Amino acid sequence: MGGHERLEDAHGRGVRLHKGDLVVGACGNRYATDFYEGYHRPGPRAHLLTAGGVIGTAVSWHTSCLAPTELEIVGALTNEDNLPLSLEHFARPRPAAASAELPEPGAGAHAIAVVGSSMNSGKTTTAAGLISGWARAGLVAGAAKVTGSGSGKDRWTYIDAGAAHVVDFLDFGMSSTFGYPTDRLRSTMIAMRDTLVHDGANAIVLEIADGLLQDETRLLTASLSAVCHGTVLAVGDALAARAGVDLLRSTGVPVLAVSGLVTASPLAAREAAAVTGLPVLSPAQLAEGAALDLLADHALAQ
Amino acid sequence: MRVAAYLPDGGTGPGRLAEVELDATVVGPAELVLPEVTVCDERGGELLHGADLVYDPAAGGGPLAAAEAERQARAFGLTNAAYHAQRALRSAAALLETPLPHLLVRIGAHSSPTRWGGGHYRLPGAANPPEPHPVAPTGEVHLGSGRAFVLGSATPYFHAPAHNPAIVYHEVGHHICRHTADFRVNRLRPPDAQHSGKVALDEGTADFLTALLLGTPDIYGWHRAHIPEWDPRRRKLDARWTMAFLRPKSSGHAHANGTIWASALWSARARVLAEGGDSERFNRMLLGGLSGLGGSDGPVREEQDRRNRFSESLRELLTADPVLAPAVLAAMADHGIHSQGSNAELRARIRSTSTPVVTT
Repeated sequence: MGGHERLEDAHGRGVRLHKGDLVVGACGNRYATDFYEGYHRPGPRAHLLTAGGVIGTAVSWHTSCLAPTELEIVGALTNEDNLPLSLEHFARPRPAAASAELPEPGAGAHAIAVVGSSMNSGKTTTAAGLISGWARAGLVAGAAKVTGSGSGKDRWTYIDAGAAHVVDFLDFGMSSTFGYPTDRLRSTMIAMRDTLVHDGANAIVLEIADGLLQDETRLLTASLSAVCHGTVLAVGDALAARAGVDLLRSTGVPVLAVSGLVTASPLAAREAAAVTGLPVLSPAQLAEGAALDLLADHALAQ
Repeated sequence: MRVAAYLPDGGTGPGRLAEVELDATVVGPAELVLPEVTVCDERGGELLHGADLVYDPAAGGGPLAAAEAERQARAFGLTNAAYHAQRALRSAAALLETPLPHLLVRIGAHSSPTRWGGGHYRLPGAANPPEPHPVAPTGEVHLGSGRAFVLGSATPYFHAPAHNPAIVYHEVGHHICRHTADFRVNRLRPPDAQHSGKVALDEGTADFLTALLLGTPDIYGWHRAHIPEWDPRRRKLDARWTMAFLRPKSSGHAHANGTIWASALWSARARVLAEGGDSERFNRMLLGGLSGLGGSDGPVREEQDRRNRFSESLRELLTADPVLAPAVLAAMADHGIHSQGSNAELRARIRSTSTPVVTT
């Protein structure tokens, strides 16, 4: 047993693991600067890379982490034809109308992306603040985890915040997005947005994992201006806010506000507001109504 | 001048949209002055222009509305709030046979970065959060700019408090209470250290006045339609709300406790009407009772405690019109309100004599 002592069951409960347990996971990679870097490498042994059951081989990890829990590979789950099962076989159909066309603000659904300066900068808490604010305002909130490594934590966070509809990359056939071609991730991001609109959401948050300098995040961010109406940047300090806003603005996507861990410090929040010229909004402020204002035309026109 | 307003229709919406005459003067791009009340929108912008002020409610406007729709909605909020504030103040003045001090209504003064979908009544003095403007000595009503769409509405409507006659009436009701019963004994406090907190009787009286002016006990049936009628958060005036449900010494429950008083007043009025009495006489009895409650002097602490008692308020009602007293006493008794005893004693009394109920 190592870093992960629990594994989520089909209902999301973290089941305590014991040596010798037989578990089912999904092969994949992981990119987590505060946790494991791992890759899918077929072989007789592997590591548990996430609590959601992504299985691969860890090649590096943060000094604060324990070594990964080790797994012995018994075999692949197979279908009636003895072929290995894949999440791809269970992927949601993509909406027929999936396109890069962006709905007009005010004319239908609104979409905002949450990106961060790094892992653990407060992206999911920021997304939950947006969701809560929209749900409390009577909007139908939808949430998408666009990239990351499979686990239920963020999905439950969205639902607990009031999201009426939730999708993530697992729904579209990927146990982890690290290593997938950017075109696949971009088209999936659009499919997620359109799926949520199709399901009935009229206020959508798209959370993109990791920091803006991570390869896939950086490439996805470059296309955000065609996918969503604006972004909220989650950061831990004012310097990251300044650098992140500059990076986002260079892609042409509107930056609506700064949020995340920086808002825990009033002083740091004031610094961030001063160097970016943007509103710095805590997740609580988003939930109390600021999330609704971010959808206003004047905000989206920035 | 002609203005647009929602007229109470006893239904579950904001009312019937109509044009009405309003005795008002435009003194700024977003400010109306009437003899009884001044209404201004603190968010700025050129809202009012032209001889007539007939604006479209525009489904409440709100942050998702187009700029012109939002302007129309805010202008409508001004005229709608002015119409209903004046109606409430004129009704009270007629019953009291004297005008109340001028009221200032500010819309949208507390809206950033969080949104506010309610209203409050403020006097000069400490407040949490602090008020952004000096508060007029005679009292101010503040209405939020709205924070949500009306839940369960067939078509989206952004709930702007100024569009909701119930919220306007409730807050003006506090102004009426301040200058009659004066539950916090502010008349005896320094002008710059007034107490803006509300007790249950204040909240309940404001809710009853709201029901009276709307013509329905389901006063918040529009924007709280998603809350079941039996839920205390709906604040529908109902025979079920008795002193058994009182949560004493809990200022956070002033609204729920107030619903008991409001419901008892509604029952008393219904009983008076059923026995051949008229509504106006009952209303005069209420205003007379409120004035009587606030008419005595004494140490602030003692007066505040006295005016916090349901039994004291009932006694003042009975004194105000002895002819209606039997009907009012009987109806109040059904709610566990008697003319003697502290609030806690009244609660203990009804709980000891009634079938056990689940209370919180």
